[in-house]
Amino acid sequence: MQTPYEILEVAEDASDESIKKAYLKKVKEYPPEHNVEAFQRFRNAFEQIQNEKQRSNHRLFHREKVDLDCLLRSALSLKDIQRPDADLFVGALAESALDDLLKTKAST
Amino acid sequence: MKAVTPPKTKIDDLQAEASFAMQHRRYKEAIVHFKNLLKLEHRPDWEQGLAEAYRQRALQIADKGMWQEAIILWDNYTKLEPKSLLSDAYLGWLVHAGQFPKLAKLLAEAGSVTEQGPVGRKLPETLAVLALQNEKLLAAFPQEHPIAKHHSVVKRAIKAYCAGRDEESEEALRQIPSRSPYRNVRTVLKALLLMGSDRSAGLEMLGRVEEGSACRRLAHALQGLARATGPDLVALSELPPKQQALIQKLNGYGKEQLNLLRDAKKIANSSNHRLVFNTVLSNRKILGESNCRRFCLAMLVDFPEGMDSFQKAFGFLSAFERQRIRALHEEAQGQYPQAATHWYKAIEELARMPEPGRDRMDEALILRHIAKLAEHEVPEIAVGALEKSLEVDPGDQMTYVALVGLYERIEEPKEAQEWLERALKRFPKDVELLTLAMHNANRRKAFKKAAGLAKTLLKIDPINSSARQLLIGAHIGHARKQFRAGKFDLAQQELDQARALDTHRRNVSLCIVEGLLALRKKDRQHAAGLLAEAWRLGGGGLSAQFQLNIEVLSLDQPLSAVAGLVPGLDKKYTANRAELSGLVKLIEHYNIGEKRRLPDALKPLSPILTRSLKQPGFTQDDFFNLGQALVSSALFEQLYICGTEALRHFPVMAAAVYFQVYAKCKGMANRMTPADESRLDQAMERAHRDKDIRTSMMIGKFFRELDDPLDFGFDEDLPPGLEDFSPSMAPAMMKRMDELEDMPRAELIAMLAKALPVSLPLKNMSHQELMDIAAVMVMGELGVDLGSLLGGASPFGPAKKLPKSR
Repeated sequence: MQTPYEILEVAEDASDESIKKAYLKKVKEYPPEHNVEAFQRFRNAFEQIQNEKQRSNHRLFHREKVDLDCLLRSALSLKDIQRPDADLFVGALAESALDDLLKTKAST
Repeated sequence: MKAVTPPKTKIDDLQAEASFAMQHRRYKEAIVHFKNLLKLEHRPDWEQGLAEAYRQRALQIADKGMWQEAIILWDNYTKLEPKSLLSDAYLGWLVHAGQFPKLAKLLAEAGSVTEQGPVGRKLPETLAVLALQNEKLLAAFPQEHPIAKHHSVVKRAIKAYCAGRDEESEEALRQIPSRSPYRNVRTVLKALLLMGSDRSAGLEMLGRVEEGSACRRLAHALQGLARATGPDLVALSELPPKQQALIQKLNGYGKEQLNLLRDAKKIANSSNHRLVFNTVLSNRKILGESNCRRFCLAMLVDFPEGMDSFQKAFGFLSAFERQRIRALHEEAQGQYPQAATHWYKAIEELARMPEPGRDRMDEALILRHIAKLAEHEVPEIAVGALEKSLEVDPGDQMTYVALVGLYERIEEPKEAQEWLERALKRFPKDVELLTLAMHNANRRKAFKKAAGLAKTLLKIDPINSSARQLLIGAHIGHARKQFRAGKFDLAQQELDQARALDTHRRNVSLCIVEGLLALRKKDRQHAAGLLAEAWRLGGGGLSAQFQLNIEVLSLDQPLSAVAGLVPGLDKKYTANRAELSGLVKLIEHYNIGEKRRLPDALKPLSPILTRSLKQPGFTQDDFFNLGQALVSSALFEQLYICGTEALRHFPVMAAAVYFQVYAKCKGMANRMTPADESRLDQAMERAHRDKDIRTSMMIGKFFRELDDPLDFGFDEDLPPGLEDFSPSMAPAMMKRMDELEDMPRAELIAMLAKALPVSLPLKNMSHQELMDIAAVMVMGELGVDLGSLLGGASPFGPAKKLPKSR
């Protein structure tokens, strides 16, 4: 789950001006008429941190969503693909094929 | 030797038993009977019977998962029926029984006969894949069979890929024909080769593995592995062991990642916060310190008990932060009072911080947050928190607006007004605040002030329509006063100012008053034009006629004054839903300021209203809205009609019963007869049952007037003289006072002067003083012995006794 700062790619101590600048840049890159979803995401992020009061509100009352799956996936995501040994590859292939065949319903 | 013919009766018996067993699906017995029959004599029909019994018995026990037995029975069947096709079910049983060499032999011998059903279609590819790890299976295929023919090149491609010799692998793959049973293995290998340099191209290649292929499951698992967002851990944990091991190997997972994977399985979808928190914390090295800190900090809101562990792992949490987390935790549980307690403690912690670093803005924001939590349940706490927040941060316009709204909600108009004035001092040009103040003044009948605010508003926001309408209304109101006082030129001046604001000529009242002034100036033609315009603007129906009536009456003119100048309504005229809705809006509009004219304006229209309400097409909501407008305007005659007609259309409409009863006892609960009370009680029950909350609340409020009339501040016994003042008279008194409140000052003074036996300087008195005297007079009208109350003779003479209250 990204914070509004991460979405707009600004530092947490960024000024009103630089936040607005970053937001407008994003809107230019993803115009609402082309990508409504992305625009909405940037708009929501901007509204949460556009001025000091909003930023304080966000800091004090925002409940960040706990995303365990995202945390684990980031640690286990594919970096450089490694080579298995041939027996393991063939074994996995056979296991998958046999499993598939066993689950196939025969016609009577 | 002469053949011994078995006795006929024995054959008949056996035949009958075999037939009976077949009919009753007792194939095992049927097999025995047919075998016995065949021992006696070889007959083709008995052999066919035995074959069918074997076939049916095989199918029967295969259903129970007894594959081996089913295979033997089927083999017996095919011996008797050698021309039968190779069954797909039989192939399935061989797969389940693990008889792959037999399958390979059948496939090698039969070829096309196996391609009948789903199992048969998958068999060549599956056996090809299985042959990659099973030399004996491979040996079952003749050299020219594609499984044997392409086997070595596929093996070479796999070995070369696994050893990182990509070019050699690619070269081998090119030798596999597109109709080979290994074609999908080729696609998987190509995808893995691509994935090393271009993940998305690899993913795209995996998508090309044929639907229904033996490699489809592995391809799907590999797609999950290569997703940009990371592997689907739940799906990964559900994979069979070899495929899981392959993915882990491809990912290069070490011991720590494998431990994490094991833990991930435990905590996936777990609602045990402690388990999740501690598992994440114990894996923080592999999860990354910063990611893990962020996750655990977010999780503390669900699991504040983890704060100490968090501190040990990631460092100090300030006392303020601890209170903030606890407050958010309570909010998440819906425990708002406890949340507010922690927020107040957080503010205390802020106050302990040294002044230079202390953030006063945080204090104000927390107080506003507390107000939001409390505003529905305990608005008084919300009001306190907002006031305090403005002491810390007085520059927040929205807080003033919220505070005024809350004070209005808890019926503290003085406080609301005071804060509105403070807000306006700080933000004199704020459109929202000016609009709020304008409506507030209008509601308080401070029309001059409202008009002043509307003018200011229009200077800032020239297209503000509510300010414009209010100002037009104010000018028309002044024009009416001047008209009634006979100052027609001044009235004209006011109307001219209103006309300058009504640039689009949309205001019906303005046209009517202008028309009546023209009539007064004997300019009948101009008057007719203006009144016709008003008639048209008002829609020319029931609501137009009503508005004309009330405007004429408000200028103290007889209704006959406009006779012949407007088309008027036909005697048989009936109004539609839109007109009725317009009428409701007008009644609500004139209820402020011209309430006392409403009965006379509506009375001539009663026949039309009655006739209209008899027509079909009106909804319960239409009747409800009309009824409510008539209740608030105390138009009892029309209210009774509304209730009666509503009941004709909707016989069980609870609100209609209320309208009838309310109209009958003229809005005074104490005048209800026992029969009315019982009807209303039933109606309330029905409304409650039908979840018609607005009606049940309306009736409940009326009933409460019986039990709990308005509190006049007397704790127990009423003071001497007030014994006659039954608390149930309170609503009647309030209604009468409302009427007097609306009365023009001159009229009120004249009425009081007439009622008082002594002369008082009424003209010098304030409006409040006049209303105090009027209150005493109304009490006398309601039957209170004022002489006894005031310790002497009543200033208004003897009390007029009302009908005895309940």
